[in-house]
Amino acid sequence: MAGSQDSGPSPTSPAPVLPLFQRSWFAPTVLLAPTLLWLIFFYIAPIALMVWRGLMDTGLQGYIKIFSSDIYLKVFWNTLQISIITTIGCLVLGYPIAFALTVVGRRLQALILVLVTLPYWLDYVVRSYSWIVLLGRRGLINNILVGLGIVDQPLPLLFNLFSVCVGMIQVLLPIMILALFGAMSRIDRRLMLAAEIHGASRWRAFRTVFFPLSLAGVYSACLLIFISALGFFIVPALIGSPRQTMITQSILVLAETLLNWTDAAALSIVLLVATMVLTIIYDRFFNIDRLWGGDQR
Amino acid sequence: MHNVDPADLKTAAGAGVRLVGVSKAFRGTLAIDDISLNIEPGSFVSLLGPSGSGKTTTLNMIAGFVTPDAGQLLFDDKPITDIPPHKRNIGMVFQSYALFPHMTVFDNVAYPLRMRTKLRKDELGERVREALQLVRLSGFEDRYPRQLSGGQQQRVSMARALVGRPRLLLMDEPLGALDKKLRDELQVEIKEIHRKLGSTFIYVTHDQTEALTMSDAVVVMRNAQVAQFGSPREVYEEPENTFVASFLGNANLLPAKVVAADGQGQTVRLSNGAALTLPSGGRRTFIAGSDVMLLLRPEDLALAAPGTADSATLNGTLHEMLFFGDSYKLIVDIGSDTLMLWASPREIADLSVGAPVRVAWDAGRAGLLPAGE
Repeated sequence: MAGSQDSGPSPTSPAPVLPLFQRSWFAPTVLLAPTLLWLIFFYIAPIALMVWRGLMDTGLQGYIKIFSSDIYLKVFWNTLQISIITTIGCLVLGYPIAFALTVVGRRLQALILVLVTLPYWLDYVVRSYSWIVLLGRRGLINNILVGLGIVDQPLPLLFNLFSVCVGMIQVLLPIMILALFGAMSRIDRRLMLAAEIHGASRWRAFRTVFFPLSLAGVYSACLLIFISALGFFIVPALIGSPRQTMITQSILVLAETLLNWTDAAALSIVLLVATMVLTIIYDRFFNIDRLWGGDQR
Repeated sequence: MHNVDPADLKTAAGAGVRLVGVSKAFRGTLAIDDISLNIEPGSFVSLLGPSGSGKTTTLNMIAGFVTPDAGQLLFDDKPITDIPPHKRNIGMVFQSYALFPHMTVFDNVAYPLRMRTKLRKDELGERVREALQLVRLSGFEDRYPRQLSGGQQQRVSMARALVGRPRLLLMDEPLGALDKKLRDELQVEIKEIHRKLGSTFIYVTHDQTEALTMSDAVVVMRNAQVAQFGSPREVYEEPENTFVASFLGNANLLPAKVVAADGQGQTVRLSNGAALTLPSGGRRTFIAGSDVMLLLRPEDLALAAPGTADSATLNGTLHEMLFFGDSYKLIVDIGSDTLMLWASPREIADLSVGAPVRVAWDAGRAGLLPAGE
């Protein structure tokens, strides 16, 4: 948009003065205008206002408080820890399924894809509540374990780090699978044949060719999941305990209950900046994918 | 220049490959229909045919990517139908090159050695450099495939296929994606490499010139079957049916009827009433009354010099003449059929479209094929 600005007639060739609608920047600008205005009005302006108000009212006080308070550091740590565990969990469970999707026949592939996306037909508040039924002290799993005599006491499965991670993995796993599957299906399958005919067993062909080529997709899928996990609050609110409070929950409490908008604004900005930095990294990994020819053909 | 000692690279000997009554169907459609082939050790054999004729499936079956539904596959008389691809000790060049994009040229070429051997690092490097020298790509070791041109990628792909000194090398339309000039160049190089290595080469192509120029033997395929298997000269000069005749090179195929067949030869009558006598000793004899196709290659036809006997000419009118630089392509109407032939600009003189022409034909080189198809 800005790059396509008309730089005026060049000195070498006196360009004829074009009517407004024929100039190179005109059409893109007009076409993008509704979207840009919408984004500016509903996203950029409120955020700018929030940053501005925060700084005008109290200066950097909010930020200083956030980074010096044990409570907020604990919240940051919670968020980081839960997001990392969730990302790894999604990767470990999602990679084999995504890989299977690339090797099975068309019909089975369609079936698995339907099963993968099926949970989205249910609201995830409902799905999160259902974990209470499964993981509670008298939930299905504990009943079975105690009933079979495998454990004497019901295991503490709910309202802790474990249940929060399980709940978040369940919500984010389909995204991980679809992202990985998208990246994997761009890998040329003939490369595996080339590896096999030149002496690699299936497993070695996977390890030396498919897996390295899938890494770019793995990185970007993990970043996507990690960024999504950073902003979660319903799952930890429903099936976590106060010890698992994440950033978004704190923002909610600060803004709605304590009416401490300064800290809430500062915390929001920290989350926003972290997400943006990760998005920039994500974008770079995407480019590496292209360099390797992942999206050719 | 390249100074690889051919003796260093020479494989023990090419592998003999035999297909015995092999069939394969995909979703009910036969891709290979009861094919039997005997490929001589060390030979250069082309599988030639239009797309969908089964040539690539045949190659993939030899590679082990496709399991036959019926029949047997033998290397040196040992059945290998149940042996997985990675244990068959084959090199393969793919149409799309299939180079590993995350590896350098060196690592790509070293791949088969790393998978199949336990060579020391220096030996490995030596072998890789040797292979790259053979395909004239020394000095490109540290590049990535995406930094190479199509022709260079093709050479890397060849180096990877032959670095392990396989006794059998498979090539799936390796030059298909390259422009004509590069293709001609690489054809010569592939032929040279074949001579140096002594491995058996099986080469899939749909380009008849490529098959004829490069091969010791050509397998012409059609509709999942072998239409003819023979030396390039055999399949070109003595095609077994009209499909092979017209698929390889240019062919004038004229419907005709055998009117007399005896020890002297066979006389056929064309649709325009002209009677031609072919000397005896042809590969194929038909009884009088049979419907046949008369095969006349353009290079066996010429504008008749004045005074040529009528029995050795066909009369017609010039329908079209196209200038090709060194020669003219002539289309001559004879009755309801047409003949295509070449003439030098000198012979054309003042000929113009619509003029009556006499075409001399070489009775000794004409052929008769069964009608039909």
